[in-house]
Amino acid sequence: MAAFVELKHVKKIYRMGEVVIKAVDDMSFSIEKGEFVVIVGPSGAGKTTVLNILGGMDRATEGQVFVDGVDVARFDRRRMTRYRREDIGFVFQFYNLVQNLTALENVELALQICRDHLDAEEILTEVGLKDRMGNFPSQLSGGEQQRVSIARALAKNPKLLLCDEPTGALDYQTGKAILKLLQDTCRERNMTVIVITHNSALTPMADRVIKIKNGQVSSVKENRNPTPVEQIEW
Amino acid sequence: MKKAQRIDFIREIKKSLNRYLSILFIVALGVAFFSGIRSAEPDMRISVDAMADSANFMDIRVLSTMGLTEEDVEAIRQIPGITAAEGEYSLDALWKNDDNELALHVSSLPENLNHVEVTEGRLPEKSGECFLDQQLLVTEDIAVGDQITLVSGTDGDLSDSLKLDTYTVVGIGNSPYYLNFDRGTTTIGNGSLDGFVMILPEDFSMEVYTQIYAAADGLDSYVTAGNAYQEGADEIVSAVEDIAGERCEIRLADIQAEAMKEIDDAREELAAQEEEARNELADAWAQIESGEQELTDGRAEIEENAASLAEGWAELSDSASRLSGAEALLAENQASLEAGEAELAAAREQYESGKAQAEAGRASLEAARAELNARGEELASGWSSYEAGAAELQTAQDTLEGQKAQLEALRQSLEQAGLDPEENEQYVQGMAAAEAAQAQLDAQSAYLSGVYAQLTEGQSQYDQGSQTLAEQEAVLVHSEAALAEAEAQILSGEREMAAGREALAQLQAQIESGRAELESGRQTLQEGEEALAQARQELEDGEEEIAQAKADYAEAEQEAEDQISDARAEIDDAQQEVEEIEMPEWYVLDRQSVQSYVEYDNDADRIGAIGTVFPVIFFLVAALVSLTTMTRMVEEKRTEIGTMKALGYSTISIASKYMLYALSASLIGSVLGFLVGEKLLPWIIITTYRILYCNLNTIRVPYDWGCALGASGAAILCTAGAALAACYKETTAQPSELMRPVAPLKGKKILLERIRPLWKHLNFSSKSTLRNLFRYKKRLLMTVFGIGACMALIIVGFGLRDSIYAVSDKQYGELWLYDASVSLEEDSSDQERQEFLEAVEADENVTESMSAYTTSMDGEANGVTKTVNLVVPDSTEEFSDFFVLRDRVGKETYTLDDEGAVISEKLAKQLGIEEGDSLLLKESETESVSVPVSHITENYVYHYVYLTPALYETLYGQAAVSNTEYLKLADASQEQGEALSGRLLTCDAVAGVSLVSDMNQTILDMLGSLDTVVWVLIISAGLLAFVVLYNLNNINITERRRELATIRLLGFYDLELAMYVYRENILLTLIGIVAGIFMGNVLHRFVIETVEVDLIMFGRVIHPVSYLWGILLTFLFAFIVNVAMFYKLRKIDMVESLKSVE
Repeated sequence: MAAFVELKHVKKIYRMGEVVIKAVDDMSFSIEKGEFVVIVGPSGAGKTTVLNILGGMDRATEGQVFVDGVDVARFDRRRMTRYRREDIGFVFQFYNLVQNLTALENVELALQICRDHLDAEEILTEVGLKDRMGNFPSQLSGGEQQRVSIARALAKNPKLLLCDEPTGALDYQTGKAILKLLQDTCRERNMTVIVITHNSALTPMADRVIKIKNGQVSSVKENRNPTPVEQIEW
Repeated sequence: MKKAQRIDFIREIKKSLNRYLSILFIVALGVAFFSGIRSAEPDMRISVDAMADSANFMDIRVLSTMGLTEEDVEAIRQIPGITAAEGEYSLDALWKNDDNELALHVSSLPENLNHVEVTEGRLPEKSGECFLDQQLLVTEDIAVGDQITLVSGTDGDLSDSLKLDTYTVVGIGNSPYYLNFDRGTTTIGNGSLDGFVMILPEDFSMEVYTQIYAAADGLDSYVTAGNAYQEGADEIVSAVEDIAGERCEIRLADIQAEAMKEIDDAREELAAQEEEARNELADAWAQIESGEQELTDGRAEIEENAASLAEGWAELSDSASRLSGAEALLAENQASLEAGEAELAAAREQYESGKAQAEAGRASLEAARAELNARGEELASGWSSYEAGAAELQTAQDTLEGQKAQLEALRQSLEQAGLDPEENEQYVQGMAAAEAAQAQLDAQSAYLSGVYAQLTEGQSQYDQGSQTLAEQEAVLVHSEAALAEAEAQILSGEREMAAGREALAQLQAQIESGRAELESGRQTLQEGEEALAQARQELEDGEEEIAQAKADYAEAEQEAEDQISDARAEIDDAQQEVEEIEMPEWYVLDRQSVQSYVEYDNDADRIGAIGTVFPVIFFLVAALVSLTTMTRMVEEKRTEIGTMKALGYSTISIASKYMLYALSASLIGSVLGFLVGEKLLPWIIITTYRILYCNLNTIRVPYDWGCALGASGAAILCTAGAALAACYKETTAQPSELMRPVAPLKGKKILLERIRPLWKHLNFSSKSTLRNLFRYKKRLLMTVFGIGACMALIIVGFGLRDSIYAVSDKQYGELWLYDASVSLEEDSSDQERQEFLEAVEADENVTESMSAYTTSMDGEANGVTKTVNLVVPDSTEEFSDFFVLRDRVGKETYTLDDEGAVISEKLAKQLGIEEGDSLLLKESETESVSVPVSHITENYVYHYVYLTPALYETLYGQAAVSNTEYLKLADASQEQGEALSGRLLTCDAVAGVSLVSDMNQTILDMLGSLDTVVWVLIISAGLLAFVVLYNLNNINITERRRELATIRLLGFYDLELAMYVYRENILLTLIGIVAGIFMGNVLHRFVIETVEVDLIMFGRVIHPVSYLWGILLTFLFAFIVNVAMFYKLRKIDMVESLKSVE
């Protein structure tokens, strides 16, 4: 079976005047469909760049990025946007909810541009926010906000769920609950979830762990028996 | 400030150059507009003052009711503070150039004051040269070297005032006295002056100056009409007024002395004339008297003639009576002749029968003789008795013969006396007696015969017979003798008769000739009578003539007396008048009395008024925007402030960066603003006004430092104050607090959500747009205000055009339906008017005409007086074809009726009267009538009062005599109108023709100059809209960068993302437009009422198209800003969303 996501010799070079920074330098890896993947590495290793490239926010300078068999790296601005709205779900470190919209409306915000989407209320119920749908972000706790964020990402029924330090702004318990939600989602919906974090403690829960260092993949480890989140301590 | 801070400051500016520049430019714009328009008013005044100063324009001028003398000029010159004074002769005269008749103001060329500007040629140097108004070149084809000939515009002779009437143009140019096209009014020509012409003073033959110009010391350094200037001018005016009394007394004394001399002369002349008149009268009387004498003579003669005529008549009637006497005598004679003849005839008959008897007697005698012879014897015996009887008979016969002789004697004496003997009684009786005696004799004879026969018979028949025979023979012989006698008598009687008949015929002839004579005498007399009657008639005529002559004389005498006494009274009156001559009065006027300067002043005031409102709005918006920007900037930098604080920098030190940022931006902006604004805007405005004030040859736009400082200060204070306030808020907070991200503005439900059904029906985008709008209330207000101001400015700009165009459009298009009006000469004759009306009737271009009486008088109510034009149409039926009377708002049309007057709207407003009130129409201070106002009509130009002819007659007691003809034309174009005007002006009755197209052109010209102002407003509005929208959008995008990045990341296309922002902008623009319509309306109203002049009402309504333009332009500006924003939105980096909150 062909890899669901595959990076082939991807390079990302930023030029800032005289200085040339190679944020990603000849990176290759692949991910199977329905896997829970953790990409881990220290600050400045190129995690975010990989996320940007995968999420259709940035284009690779060189190399190919296949998602579900299509080379995303060759997309133009418009295809890229469509790719983002149709295929990608994003979960942010700071939730990035629109403050002026209620939880439900935040989900709807994403749905109104998406053709093949799920029901907003249903998905919010699923993430455990049945009673808080009409609340504004400021009226929700961090964890609840992150749930809204996840719901917003899931409701689009994306091919790929990208999570950028989803627990970064949360306390330990809440963070765990969120990770659990992500893991459950992956399992229940056969959703390909990629979590990007600097916290290596999370690696045991992943199906596949990709370690990045200095813009290159240092190791890819497949985990036959991932540990449930509840059992992980950090 | 530390080095690091300095570097930071410079980097900050470099990094946020957009923001820095936007503050700089918005401040620049605000300050430019504020100080530019504010200084336009003073600059206008400075410009005109500069021109006045360079021309050494008079500060005051003095007019007198009785002219001014050289001594007056000298006296004024002596007043301290007066630097120059000079007298000016002037009058208005007509110049007929080709077909045009132009009214010119002829004045003496000023020497030291009011320097004219020579654009061509030179100034007049010698008599017969003139300097001509440049404005005349617009219409007239004249050049230097041409000649102009002036004619008097009044009944007076031009040579009374001017020595020459033809002048050679040696120069053309302008006088500082006139700023605009208007040359003022005059009493000649068509009432308005077309230009001036200046000649040397020596070409005037006037005795006194018309006015004196004077310049005051030190006033040049002040701006005309400014307070300092006006104070100085007032001082000089009162100084001149101080000497006015004395000068006037002198002038009065002079005038009186001169007048008295004239009166004395007049008296002398009167005396001479009286003498002459008296002489003439005396002559006339003498003539009358001689005439009368002649008449008396004539009458005597006539009397004489009449007497002789009467005598003639008496004679005639004597002759006539004599004639008739003669006639009677003739008749009598004739009768007696006839009687005589009859007698003669009887006598003849008797004679005839006697003769027959006698013959028969002879025969019987002869027979008897035979018998006698036979009987002789008998006869002889009878004879003796017969003898006896015969003797007796002889005696009787003798007696009779004696009687007859006596009769014959009588007859002879009668005939001797020339009388008819037949007429003599004695004779006649005698004759009769004789006759009777004869008869008796005859009877006796017969008796004798009987006796003889008896005797004979008795004795012897013979004897007796013989005797009887003898007797008988004797008797017979006797009777035969008697018969012969009788025959002789008859014959003489017949002769007599014939003589008598002849005499009668003679008499008849005599009578006839007498009658003819009488007739001719009568004729002569008749003729005499006729001649007499004629003479009498002549006499009567003569008498009448004399009576007439006497009456004439009496009349003439009376007249002469009257005239003399009138003349005497007149002279006395004149003397009294001279004695009572009122003290002449001086009018000391300053520049405020110069029409074009006052108009210019008013215009400057108007610009000043605009300058008080517009720039403030502009400035407010600019200040608010820069304030928001600065606040936003400081808020953005809270982490940095916190860090600085944590590092131990003092609050002042930290704040100084932002202060400096704001200060430098606003300072540079202010300087830039007023440097450009104070030069550019006044220049544009004054240049625009120069279209009207074409003589304004100087434009001065000095920097108004006060205004610049004020505007800059306010701008800097606003911006820096905002920065300071924001800094204060941030810097007083604890560093730790500052280090934490500011809690984003919380989302909350808006009021609209409470209306569930409505909210439910809104789609998602609308919901989020609405929520966002109300989330950023400050931004909402700012944007609405900015766009509203933009919209307001645009519609005020277009509205100004609309309002002025309304004058043209409504007044000349909808209210006045006529195309031309012709004013007639007051003193034109009926025939001339008839000719004119025929010319109008015959003119091809005239479709309809209406006569009306128009005049100008004062209308008064509530203590306010305005000059009004009274229009009284000849008939109210045609009136509505020429004038539309209607309510401006309700469009209800009115008809002119006898109930009251219809007056124009602005007049009603200025006099404070409403329908049903009454208006006082004043012809003079003493003559006025009150008229009820029945309707108030829409009107834009001048004040009008319309009356029906019947109402006018009721009010004034006399019918209105038409003096104006309103015309409707088939082709009302300027060209055709002027052609018509030319045709009509050839009629003697026509005083002037005014074309509606001309008036309309004036308005359109005004619009032309206003277009610049409109463009300035629109461009300003556009700039304002752009800066405001750009800045606010910028803030909006910056504030919501993270949100927008997230949305983009969620897969919104560029356009969808833009729409997410634009929806808010569009809604704000819409709200702003609505607000702008309200603001614009209020502003427009204010501007119109400020700009409006007394006699003109501008339209109050902004045309829908103008709103449309406003909306379109505002949308365009918003669109441009949003397009610019689109690229900014595109550049939003999605990675931003991944970053932690700063």
